[in-house]
Amino acid sequence: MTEPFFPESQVRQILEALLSTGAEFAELYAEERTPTILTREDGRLEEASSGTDRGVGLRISAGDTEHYASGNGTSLQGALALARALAASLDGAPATALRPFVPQQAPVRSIVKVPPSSLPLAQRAEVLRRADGATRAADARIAQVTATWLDTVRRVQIANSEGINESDAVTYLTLAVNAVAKSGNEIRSAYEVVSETSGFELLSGDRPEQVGREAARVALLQLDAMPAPSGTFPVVVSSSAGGTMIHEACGHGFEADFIEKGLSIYAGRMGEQVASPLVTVVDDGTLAQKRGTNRVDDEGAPTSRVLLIENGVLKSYLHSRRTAVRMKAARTGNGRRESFRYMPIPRMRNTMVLPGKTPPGEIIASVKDGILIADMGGGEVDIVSGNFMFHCPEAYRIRDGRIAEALRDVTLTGRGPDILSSIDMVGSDHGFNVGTCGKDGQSAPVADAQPTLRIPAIVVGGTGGAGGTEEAA
Amino acid sequence: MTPREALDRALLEIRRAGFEGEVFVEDGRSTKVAVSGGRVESLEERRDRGAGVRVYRDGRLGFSFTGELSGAGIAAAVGRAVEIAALVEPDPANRPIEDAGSPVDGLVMTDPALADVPTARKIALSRAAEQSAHAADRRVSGVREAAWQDSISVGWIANTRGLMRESAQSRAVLAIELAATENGQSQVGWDGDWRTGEKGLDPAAIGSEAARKACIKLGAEPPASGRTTVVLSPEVTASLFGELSSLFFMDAVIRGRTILAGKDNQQIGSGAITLVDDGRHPAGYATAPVDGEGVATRETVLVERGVLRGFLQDGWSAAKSGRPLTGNAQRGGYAMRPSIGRSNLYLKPTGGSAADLLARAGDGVFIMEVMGLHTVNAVTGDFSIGATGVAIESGRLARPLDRMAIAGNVLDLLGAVEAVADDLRFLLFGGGATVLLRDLAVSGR
Repeated sequence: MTEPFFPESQVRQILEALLSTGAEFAELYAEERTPTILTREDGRLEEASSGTDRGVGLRISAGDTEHYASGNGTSLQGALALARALAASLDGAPATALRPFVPQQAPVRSIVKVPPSSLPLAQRAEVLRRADGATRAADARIAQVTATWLDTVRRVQIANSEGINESDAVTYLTLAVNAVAKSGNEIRSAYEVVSETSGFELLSGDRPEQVGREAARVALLQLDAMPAPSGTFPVVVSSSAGGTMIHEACGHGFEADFIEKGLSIYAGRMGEQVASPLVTVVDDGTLAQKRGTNRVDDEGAPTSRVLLIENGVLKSYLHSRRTAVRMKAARTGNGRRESFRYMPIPRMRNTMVLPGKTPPGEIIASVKDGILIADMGGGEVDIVSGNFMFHCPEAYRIRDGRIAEALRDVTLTGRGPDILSSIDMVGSDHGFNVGTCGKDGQSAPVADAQPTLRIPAIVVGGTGGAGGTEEAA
Repeated sequence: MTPREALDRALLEIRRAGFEGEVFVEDGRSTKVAVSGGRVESLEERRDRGAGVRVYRDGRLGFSFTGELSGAGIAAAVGRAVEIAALVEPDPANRPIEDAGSPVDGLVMTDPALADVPTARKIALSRAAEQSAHAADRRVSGVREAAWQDSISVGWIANTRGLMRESAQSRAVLAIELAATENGQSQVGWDGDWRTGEKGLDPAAIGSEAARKACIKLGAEPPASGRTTVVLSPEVTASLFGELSSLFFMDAVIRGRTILAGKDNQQIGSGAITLVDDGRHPAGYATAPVDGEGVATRETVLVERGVLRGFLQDGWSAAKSGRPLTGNAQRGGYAMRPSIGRSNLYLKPTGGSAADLLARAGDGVFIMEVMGLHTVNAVTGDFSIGATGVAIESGRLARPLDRMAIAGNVLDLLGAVEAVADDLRFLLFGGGATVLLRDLAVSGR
């Protein structure tokens, strides 16, 4: 059990102060974060930082309006002062009684065997030395390596007037390697990362070396890569690329704050066909060890596996408490916040296209002239128009059903529902990628996954001159 | 504990541990009011106080922070920084700032009246922006949020070599994000503006401008792929060059992580490009007398008529490279290490109005929004970004375009700039002006 910041009696005191002027709902969110970041650059440990951040965020609601106040520290005195100041924004008489606290049915999902914070700092630095060494050893053309270690424990307590009082702690561990390869005047870079809600066991065996070698492999591959063509092409997105595309092409558009206001291209389409019948999409906060996993969300609601699209049909949106109340929908455990400084908003966790039946090799073999995406990087979406783009750090030309030359700096751009509806082959494989998602100035750790998919026609942005082919359906 | 007491305490603890060091203390308050459909959706208040410390000994550097300005909080942060510094390998460039320079006098960065703006007034301004958007065009179908945001912050920096600087800033921002819909297609529109206080914020202009931006894109289709003339809106110029500023970071040069490394005094762009970073520009959003290390801000010419003239330095990269401090150490709050960042970055105008540039363009594409700027590769200079805008036909804005990708190399992009209009404005995210470029690869159908 995670130690709470405030015992039950103090929680009641704070919530009662919040409710004292007529609020319908009151919430206490307390948080502590203890990040340690180490960076190895140029073959030397160059930067080290570590610290503790604590604070509380208090929320009350009355009518349509939510009132929020945040401050540093987790003392009772500080929290009560903040609560009284926030309550002063209303001027009614107490109207809501505290409900008794009931533990949420929310088992621990991610098991941490060796807490990274228990390791001596030198042992954490040693992981970077190994990853760095393996990257450099891969090839003499590796000119520059940055290896970064980040471990954080995020401990929270969330209590509200509706009977929630949950305490939770999540461990995040990340190892990232950025490799620069140089040959003559050509210079290329690549980035590889592993990140989970796991302990040091994530980096057991030769995992640090694997991360380094993978960064080196892609950087070297880029040296010989050809500029990507520009135009419309059939594209196979491999499972190895993970699910950035699904995150951008549909995930954000399913967040209920956009839906509630009719702003998302997916608003008002519950029960309608929004994707190919081959496509089923879930957002799952319960997957053991994944980067987007939590026991409860940042409003204390249990996380869940949310079926967003089933065989192409829109089944559910992603909710925070506020959107669930306003849309009279069930809570899904997707209320998230970057820290105590922010109000929670609907966010994705681990978003996935589920596997289909076609062997991935068959999908590649089906394309006469197209592009294979082997890795996806950052992306962005405009949820109103549904237009999205994402970057592909590893891609190849497909010629006559075979993987041909490597391509560099490929981006794909399209309109979410059009692309989802056009997917005509879904592989039997499955692969994950990790990321940090940004929305309204708040970042959130996420994971994405998908099988190998075929898109018959999508706009490819590249510098290698205009071209374009289209795969007959 | 007051911020000043926290500074003194930290310096004392650092010296007691036998280290040199620096402490940054911030005390900030901010509020946000969000309105949608006339209803007040949220009222937020944030108080953020904390300290970040860097300790140095024999070229080893450790950073830590605390959100608790108390003796115990400061002592814990210094202790942690000292502990973690032992891991770091020595580098003589790791040392506190010695000669921070004199900050310029007379910068107006705060409006004392901002603290007294009543919540009701913030709500009224947000509502006015929303009403203006609806009044501007019937096709405005929904407002995600019309919001007022303000911040009043004070930062103090002191180090064991005698530096002590204080910097205060107040900002008020009014912005709106909305959607317009016609014939089943929707497009987003955003506009926002800022001042040091309430005075000068124009909700009617912000609302109608957001509506215009959304409506002009309705009915957009992808263009044909090919090489074409491109005109960037001031917003796109500010965002794009803001992103490209990382190519000018001296730490990236030292680490061989920018394509501009080793190109000093070489022609890297067309003669139309003069790119400047000015941390004390009187009109800039990022204007401050000192940077995140207490160094006086200044004007730094990065590119002069296409020739690379300078980079952005912080303390470490200046010491490492032997180049001058430029006042470009930025902090993202007390819990973050300072690192190099742009201040007010902008292109100097070459003459002509925005309308002149459109006329000169002839046929081409006017870019109003870009997506995926964070995927620009500083090491190679390669970029490929998504874009939305309007076709230019015979010098006039014609049909809307979206689902475009613009790809190329930054050096080609800089080489393609033909003119920078005289409509420079300091936006929330940097200096923006209308820019004309020739012969860029645009992908669409």
